[in-house]
Amino acid sequence: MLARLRSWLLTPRFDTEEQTRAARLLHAALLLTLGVALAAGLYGLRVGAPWTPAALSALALAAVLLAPLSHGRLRRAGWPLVGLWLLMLSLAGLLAPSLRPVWASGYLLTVVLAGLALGASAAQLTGGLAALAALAALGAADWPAVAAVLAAATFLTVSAARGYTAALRQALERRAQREAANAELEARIAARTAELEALNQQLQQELAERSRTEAQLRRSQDLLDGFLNALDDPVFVKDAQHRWVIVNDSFCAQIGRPRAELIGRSDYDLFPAEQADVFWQYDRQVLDTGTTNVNEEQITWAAGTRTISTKKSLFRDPITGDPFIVASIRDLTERQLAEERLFQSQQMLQRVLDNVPQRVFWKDRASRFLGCNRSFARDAGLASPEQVIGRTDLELPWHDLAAGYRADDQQVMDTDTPKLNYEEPQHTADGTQFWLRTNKVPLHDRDGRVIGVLGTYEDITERRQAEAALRRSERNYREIFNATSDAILIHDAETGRILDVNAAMLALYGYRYAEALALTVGELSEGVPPYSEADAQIWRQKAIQAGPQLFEWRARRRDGQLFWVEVALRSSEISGHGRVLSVVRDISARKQTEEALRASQERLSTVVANAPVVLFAVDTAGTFTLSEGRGLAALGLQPGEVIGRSAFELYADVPAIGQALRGALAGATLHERVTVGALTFDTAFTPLREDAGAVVGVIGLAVDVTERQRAEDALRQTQAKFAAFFQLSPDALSISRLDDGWLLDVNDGFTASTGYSAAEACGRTRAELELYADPADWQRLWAQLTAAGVVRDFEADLRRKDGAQRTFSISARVVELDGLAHFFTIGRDITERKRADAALRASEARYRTTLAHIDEIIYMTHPSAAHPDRSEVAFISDRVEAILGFPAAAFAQDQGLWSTLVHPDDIPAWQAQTAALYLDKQPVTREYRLRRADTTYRQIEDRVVPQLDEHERVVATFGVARDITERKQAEAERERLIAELGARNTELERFTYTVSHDLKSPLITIKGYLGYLEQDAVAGHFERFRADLARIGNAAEKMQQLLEELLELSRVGRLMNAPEALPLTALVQEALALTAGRLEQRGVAVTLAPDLPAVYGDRPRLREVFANLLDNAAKFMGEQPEPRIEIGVRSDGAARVICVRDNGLGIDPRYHEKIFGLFEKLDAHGAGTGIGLALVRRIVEVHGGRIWAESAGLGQGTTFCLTLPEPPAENAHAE
Amino acid sequence: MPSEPPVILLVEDNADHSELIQRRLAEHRVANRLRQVADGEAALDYLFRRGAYAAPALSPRPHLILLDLRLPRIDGLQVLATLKADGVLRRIPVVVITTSPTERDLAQAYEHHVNSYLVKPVDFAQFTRLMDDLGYYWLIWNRQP
Repeated sequence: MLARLRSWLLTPRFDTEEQTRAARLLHAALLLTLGVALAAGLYGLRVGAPWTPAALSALALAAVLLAPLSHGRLRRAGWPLVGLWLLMLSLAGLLAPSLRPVWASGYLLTVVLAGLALGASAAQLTGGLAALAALAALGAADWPAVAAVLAAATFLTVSAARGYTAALRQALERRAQREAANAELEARIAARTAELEALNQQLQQELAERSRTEAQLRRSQDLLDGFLNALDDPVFVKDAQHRWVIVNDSFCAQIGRPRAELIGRSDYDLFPAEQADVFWQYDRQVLDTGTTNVNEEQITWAAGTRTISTKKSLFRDPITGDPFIVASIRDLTERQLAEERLFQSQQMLQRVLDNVPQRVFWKDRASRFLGCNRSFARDAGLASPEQVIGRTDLELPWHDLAAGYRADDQQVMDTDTPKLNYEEPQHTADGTQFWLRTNKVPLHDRDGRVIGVLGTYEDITERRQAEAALRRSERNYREIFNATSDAILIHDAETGRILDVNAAMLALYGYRYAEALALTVGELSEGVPPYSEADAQIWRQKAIQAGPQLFEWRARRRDGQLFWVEVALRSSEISGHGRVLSVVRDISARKQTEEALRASQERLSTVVANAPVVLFAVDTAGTFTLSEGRGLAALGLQPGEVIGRSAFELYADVPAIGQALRGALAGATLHERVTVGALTFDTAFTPLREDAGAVVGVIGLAVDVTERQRAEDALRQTQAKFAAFFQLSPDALSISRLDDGWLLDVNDGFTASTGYSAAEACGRTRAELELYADPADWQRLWAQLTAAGVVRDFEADLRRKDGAQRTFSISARVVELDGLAHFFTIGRDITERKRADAALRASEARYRTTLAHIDEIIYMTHPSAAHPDRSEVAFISDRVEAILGFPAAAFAQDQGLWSTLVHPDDIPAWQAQTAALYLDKQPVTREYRLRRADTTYRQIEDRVVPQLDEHERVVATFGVARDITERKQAEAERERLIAELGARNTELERFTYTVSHDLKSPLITIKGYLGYLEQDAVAGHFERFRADLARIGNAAEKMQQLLEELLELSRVGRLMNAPEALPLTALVQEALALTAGRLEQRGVAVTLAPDLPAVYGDRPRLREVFANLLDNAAKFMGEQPEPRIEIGVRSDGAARVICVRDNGLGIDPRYHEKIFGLFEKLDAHGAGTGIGLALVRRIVEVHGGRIWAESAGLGQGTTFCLTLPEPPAENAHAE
Repeated sequence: MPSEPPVILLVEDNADHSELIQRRLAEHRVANRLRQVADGEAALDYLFRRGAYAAPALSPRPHLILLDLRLPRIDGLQVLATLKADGVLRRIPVVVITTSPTERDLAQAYEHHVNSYLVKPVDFAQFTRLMDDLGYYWLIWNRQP
C-alpha cells in the first residue's frame, strides 16, 4: 500500500522531455486539487456546507486522474476524462442549482487542466466554451443553458477529435520516415553481411586447410602408432598415476589383453600386488628423480614366465609439463637361454678337453699360453687350466726345456706347417722325467694368418720304456738266436712243422732259410729208425708230456752227409699254440772221439787221462773199479780215489747215475746228462761184457758239460723271455723275410689285431693276406724300409681278417737272422687314439667356429701377471675383426688396445664400471663407444662376468660385447621422431588454438556491434552509428589481415623457392628497399657491417625476415632521438650469428620468448596482428637456423640474433 | 546495498570487446564502476598496486575481475595463477571471459581456482544476455564479505 502511494507521489517519466515536463505540471496540479478538495470537503462536512459533495467529488476525480497519470497513461485517457468531467459538472449544475458556484469553479479547473495537459490552444478553446456554459448556467437554469453546455461539450469533443487526428497524422509521417531509414540501414547491413559471408567462406577454407593439417597430424600420429606397434619390444607410456596411456601392440600381445582393457589401468589390475609394488617403485624412482632406469624382472604373462629388461624414462609433456613414464621392455629370456646354451656348450667342450688323456694347449704368436686343458695344467703343476693363461714355458716346471719348445712353436708358426707325432722329453714339477709324443699345429684366423699354435701331446713314457725293453730284448734275442752255435728250430707241436730256424741251423744243415722252413724233420734226419720222422714224433710227444728231452740223433745235411747231433727238445705253450723248440748240436766230433775211445782203450785211457773227462768203471755191485781222467779234478777227486766205493752209495743223491748204472748193468748203453754238485756231465754208460757177453760191469765216460749246460740254459731262458715277450706283447709283432716278405712268425698281439692266427699268417705275404687296406701304403713302407733299414711310426690302415679296418702305427727294422735279411715289425693299433685325436680336433674346430660365428665378441681376460691390477686379454673371438676391424690377434699382442679404443667421453664410466667389476665381483653390463680401425665409432654393449677362485679373487673375466650401434641409432631416431612429432603436435595445437581464438575475436566484435546497430536503428538513435560501423569495418579488415597472414605463415613451410647463395649485404639492401617508408618516417639510420657473409636459402623469404626485423625495430623505436639499426655478424663458438641491433625501446627479458608467439603483441594497442616475429621464426627454422632476442631491458635497445646456413662450398666459390 | 557501486576490473586487450562489455554493463541498470586494463602486466600492476597503479586511489580494490585469457605480455592464466596465489587477492571472484572454448584453457583456469569461466558468444542476443546475467549474478545476487 505504501509502495503504491509512493509510486503515486513520485513524479512520472515519459519518453520525451516535453511530455515529462507536462506530466509533471499536471501531476502537481492534481496533487494541489486533491489537497484543496480534501481540505474543503473536511471543512464542509464540519460546517454542513452544501458544496461538500462537490469538494468530495473533486477529491475523488483528482484521485482517479492521478492514478493513470502516475502510470504514464494520461495521453490515452486525457481527452475522454476532460469531456467526462465537463459533462458531470454540467449535470451537477443542472440538478443542484445550489452548487453552481462549485460548478463554475469546476469549469475553471477543467480549463486549467486541459491547458496544462493538452496544450494552450485546447485550454483557450475550452476556456471560451466553459465561460459560455457558465454564463448560460448562471443566467438561466433552463434548457437553452443545457443546450449551450451540450453544444460546448460537443464542440470540445469535436476539436479534441481534430487535435487527435492531427497528432495521428504527424505520428504516421514520422513512422514513414523511420521506415525509410530502416530500409536504408537494412540495405547496408545486407551489403555488410554479404561481405562477412565472403569472409566467412574464406574462413571456412582456412578451417578446411586447418583440418587438412590436422589430418596430417593425425597421419603423423598414426605413423607414430604404427611405428610403436611395429616394434617387437613392448612399449608403454604411463602417466604420473601409473596408468597406461599408450601401449603398443607388442605390449598388448605380451599382456594378452586388448588395448582398451589396458588404457587407464595400472599394474595392480593385472599383476599380483607384490609384483605391482615393485613396478610402481621403479615408476616412482623415474618420476621422482627423472632418471632412466633399467631393471630386469621375472614376469608371468601371456607367453609364460619370461625374464624381461624394462627401461623406464621420464617424459614431460612439452605443453602441459605433465610427467609420463616411457618404458620399453626387452624379452631377455631367449638371450639368457642362448647364453646358457653357449655356456653349456663351452662347458661341454671344456669337459671334453679336460677328459682326453692328451694334453692340449694353445699359445699365441709369442708362445704365451692362451689356454690348456686340465691334464696339461696338472703336468704344469697348476691348480686350474686358467692359471696357465699368459704364461710361457719359461715359467713352467720344464723351463730348462722351454727354448726347444718355443723354437718348435716358432718353426710351426713361421712355416705354417704342422709338426706331428714327434717325441720329446719333458719333466714335471716334481722332476719326473717323461716322454711326450707331440703334435703342433698352427692356428689360423679367418684370413688364414697364423695367430698361434695348438699343441697336443701324450705321455708315451711307458710305451717308450716298453719299446726300449722290447728293443733290448729283441737285440738280445737276435744276438743269442744268431750267436749260438747250436742250431735252433721251432716246431709246431702237433705237426712238427718247422716254424723257424736260426742261423746256426742253416749253417749246420746247409740250407737257406726259406728252404729250411719247407723241410720236414725227416728230411733233416737219417730217415731210418730210430732216426726217422716217426721217431722224431715220438721224441716230441715225450718232450710235450714228460718235459725236456735230450737225445742224440742222426742228422742229414743238405748234401746228404749224415752226422751226429745232440737234440734238446722242449715243449712250450706259446699263445695257445704248442711249440716245440729243438736245440741241435753237432756232436760228430764227440762221436768220433767216442769211436776212437772204443777203438783203442789204451789210447783212450791216455786220452782220457788228459782229457777233461772222467773215465770210470764199476762192477756189477756198483763198486768203482776205475776212476780216471782230468775231469776228476773238477770234482775234487784224485784218479782212483773212489775205487772200491759203491757208486750207488756215493751218488745216492743223483738218482740218474744209479738208474743209468742199473740200465747199463742190464745191458743198455746209455747217455745221460748227470749233474754232480755244480757240475754237469754228459755221461755214457756202457755195459762191460766178458767175452761170453755177460755184463760184468759198466764203463762210463763223463764229459764235463757244465759250461755248455749253462750256455744252453741261458739261451733257453732268454729265448723263453723273448718268446714270452714276443707272444705276450700286446703290439702286433711279426718277423718276415726281407727278400720275399714272407711272414715267419707273428705273435698273439698280431692275431688279436689282425684276426689272423700265426698258422694262417706264417708263410704268407702281406699281399696274400690283403693286410694293407691300401697296398700303396705297404709299397711305401717297403721302400722306406729297404732304403733306410728302419721305418718308424708309419701309419697305415690294415684290414682285419673280418674285413674291419684299423689304423696302425708301424715300425719296422731290418734284422739279420741266420745271416739272412729279415725284418721285424711292430704295429700298434692307434685307431682309438686317432679317433680321439680327430674328435678332439673336431671339437676344437667346432669351438672356434662357433665362437667365430657368434655375433658378439666373446673374450676372456685375466689379471696381468706383471700388473695384477690390470687385466689382459687372454682370448678374444675372431668376431672382433668384423666389428672393430682389428684382428683378434691385435688384442692379444697389444693388451692396451681395447682401452685406447674407448671413446674419450666414455672412459670415466668405463673405468668406473671395470673397477666395480673387480670390486663387487658382480656381472657388469656397460655401454660405450669403441673406435673402429676406420676411426668410426661403434656403440658396444659389453656384459662382463667375473670368474672367482675359492678365495673370491677375480681370476678371469668373461665378456660378451655386442655391436648395438644400429639398435642405438634406431632408438635415437625413434626418440627424435617422437620428440619431433610431439613438438609438431604442440606447435599445431598452439596454432589451432591461436587461430581459433584470434579469428573468433573479430567475429564477436562484428556481431556485437551489428547487434547494437540494429538496436539503435530501431530506437532511432544514430549518435554512435558511425563509430560502431567503423569498429565493424576494422574488425572485418583485421580478420582479413589475419587470414592473409595465416596463409602466408602456412606457406612458409610448404612453398619454398630453390635455395641459393645470397650475399647478406644484397639481401639486407633489398629488405631496406621494402621498408624504406617506415624507416624514413622515423628517421632511422641503418648501418651494415662491411664483412657480412653469404647465406644460403630462399631469397624472398629471407628478404622477408630482414624486412620484418627492420620494420619491427623502426616500429619500436619509442622516443629515441637518434634511432639507429646496425646489422652485423659475430661468432658464438662455431656458430655464425647475424645480429640486427637497434637502440629502441628494448624488451623486458621476460618476454624474449613470448614475442615469437603467433599473434603475440606486447602492446594491446600496437599496430599489426603480432604475426611478424612468428613468421620470421618460422622462416628461419625452416632454413634450419635459430632466432632469438637479446635485450638488457626497457630502454636498452634490442638485438635480434639469428643463424642461417652457409652456402655449400662449390657455391661459395661461384660467388 | 553497498554504499558505493561495486568496482569491476576488466582485463581485456581487445578495445572493441572491452567497449561491448562496458556498454552492456552501463545499459543494464546495475550501478558499477568499471576499470579496464589492456594487458596482463597492467592487470597485475593494478592489483598489486605497482608502477602506474601505485596510488590506491587509482586502483580501488575490485569486487569482481573479468579476465580475458589471451593477453599481451602476461597471459591471462598466469595472471589468474599469480593473483590466486596471493593471500588477499585470491578472495576476489575472477570470471574468465574469453573467446577460447578450449578444454585445456578451461581445465587450467579451474586448476587455478577460477570462479567462473565464460566463453564470449558470437551471437549478439546471447552476448547481451550473458552480460546481463553476469551483472545480476555477481553484482546483485552474489554476496561478498
